[in-house]
Amino acid sequence: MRGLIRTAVAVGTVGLVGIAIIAKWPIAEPVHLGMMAGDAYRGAYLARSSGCIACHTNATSGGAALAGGAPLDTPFGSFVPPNITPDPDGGIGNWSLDQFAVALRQGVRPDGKAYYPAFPYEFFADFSDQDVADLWAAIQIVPPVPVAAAESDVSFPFNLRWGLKLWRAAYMKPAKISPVMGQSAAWNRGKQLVTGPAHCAACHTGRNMLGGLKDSEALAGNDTLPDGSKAPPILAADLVAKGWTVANMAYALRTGVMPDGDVFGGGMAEVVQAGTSFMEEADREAIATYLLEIDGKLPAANAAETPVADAGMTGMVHTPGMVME
Amino acid sequence: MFKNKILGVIALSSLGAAALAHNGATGVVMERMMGMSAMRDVMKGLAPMMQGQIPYDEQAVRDAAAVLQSHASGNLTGLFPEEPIPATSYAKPEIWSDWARFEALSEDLRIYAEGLDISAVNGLEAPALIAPPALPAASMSGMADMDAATMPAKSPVTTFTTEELMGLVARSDLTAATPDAPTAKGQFTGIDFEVTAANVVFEKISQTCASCHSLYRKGN
Repeated sequence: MRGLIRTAVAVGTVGLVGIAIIAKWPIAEPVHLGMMAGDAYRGAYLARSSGCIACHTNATSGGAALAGGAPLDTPFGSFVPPNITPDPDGGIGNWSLDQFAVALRQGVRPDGKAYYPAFPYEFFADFSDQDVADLWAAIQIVPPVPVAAAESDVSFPFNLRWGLKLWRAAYMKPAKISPVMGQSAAWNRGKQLVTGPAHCAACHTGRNMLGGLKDSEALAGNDTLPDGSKAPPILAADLVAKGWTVANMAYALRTGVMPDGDVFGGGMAEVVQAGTSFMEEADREAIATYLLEIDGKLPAANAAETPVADAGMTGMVHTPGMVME
Repeated sequence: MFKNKILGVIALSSLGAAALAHNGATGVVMERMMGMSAMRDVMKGLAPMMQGQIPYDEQAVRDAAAVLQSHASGNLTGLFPEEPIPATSYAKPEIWSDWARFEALSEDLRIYAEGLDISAVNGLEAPALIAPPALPAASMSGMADMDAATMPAKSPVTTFTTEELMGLVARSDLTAATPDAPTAKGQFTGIDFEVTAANVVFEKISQTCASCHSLYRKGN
């Protein structure tokens, strides 16, 4: 009996020490952007394309811009997108640009704790320093709101933030986007948008029990979205089978009208209304070009009516990051 | 005769598919589904025309506008009596907790469907004389906005200001239809259908559908 107690105490002690070590485990890579100047317009375009505005603004209830979004209800709890206005108390006004960069690209708060992956920082991991500075500049023009958003209500054991460090070790997949030689500028631009800022996979890729994205199901659809709805597969073969073309997808990303005449609802309607409808037409065409590519080529039926977007033009105006080198 | 049979089979199978989608909908849910399907079908026919992918057909546009009108406003809201939502329905309870907004969107649909009838004659080429947006003093891209306001409506390209992108001001390309009563036939706040390209009005309709679906329809 005494041996059993000793063992239990030993196991408990080791466990506590383990937790203490994990809790102390530094996860942020240092960043030194200093006072890097940003372009507010480019930052605003990137913020819009990345869903920052849609998620951190509770438009339905008339909330102020970036003052905190509508709660995202998930099996792990209810996540409230925080106030990211430049208010020092309610928002992120007392952050440095470096802290902002770490939060955005690495998913780590200024206090060293990890963000939940409800914040899709994995997709923002490849944003350039200039992108981060541009976003920071755009945030500075937003009127500060002194009231912090409500706290997220996350259930046990997911409310133990140190556990996120284990999650990161197991599942975190920071986006790494490099252009593919031989593909058009539009295709590469589309890849950049889909894989990075637009974070299509956040909904259209299946997740495991702990919310990690399943590599094997990339863009193959997700039947278990938090709100009970389904995100369809957006792999080229599925899209072509449903009548999607580059032209009608670019149109749908602006207007919501699908090839069958139905109009997006649910999360995708929000994505269009608060996101893709603000994009440059060339960017919508680039997204469609990338998603509809089959074996490096557009299906013949689509190619004829496809005005190939010159993403380079848009890129010259405002390339939201991940500059193709 | 053979053609009729084919049509019959197509009608039955699409009915079957729709019924399957709603998994045995009956009564008012069935009526709503039929109405929405009718609107979906005319939208499907119009979308390629409005993108210039198939020849523009004024009469087809006016016929479609009539179908949309017949399913809008009170004809739409009347199909949503407040009652427990059966499992077969895609309706969300917010319809009833947020009835005024639901009603306003249904009314927007009617106004824009009437507008589509008026603007059908213009085709895709009419210049859109939408009031140019007031340029915010701090705008970094005012020139781009002026371009958008004077651009032919065929490709309604809009470049947004920094403030619009950040959600600080309402976007200039969306003008609500309902707040003010029409002053004359085809004259609504912010949009004069008689001089507006049909595709611009069509997009107002799709935006209205999307707003309603995102708020009140389960799933995408």
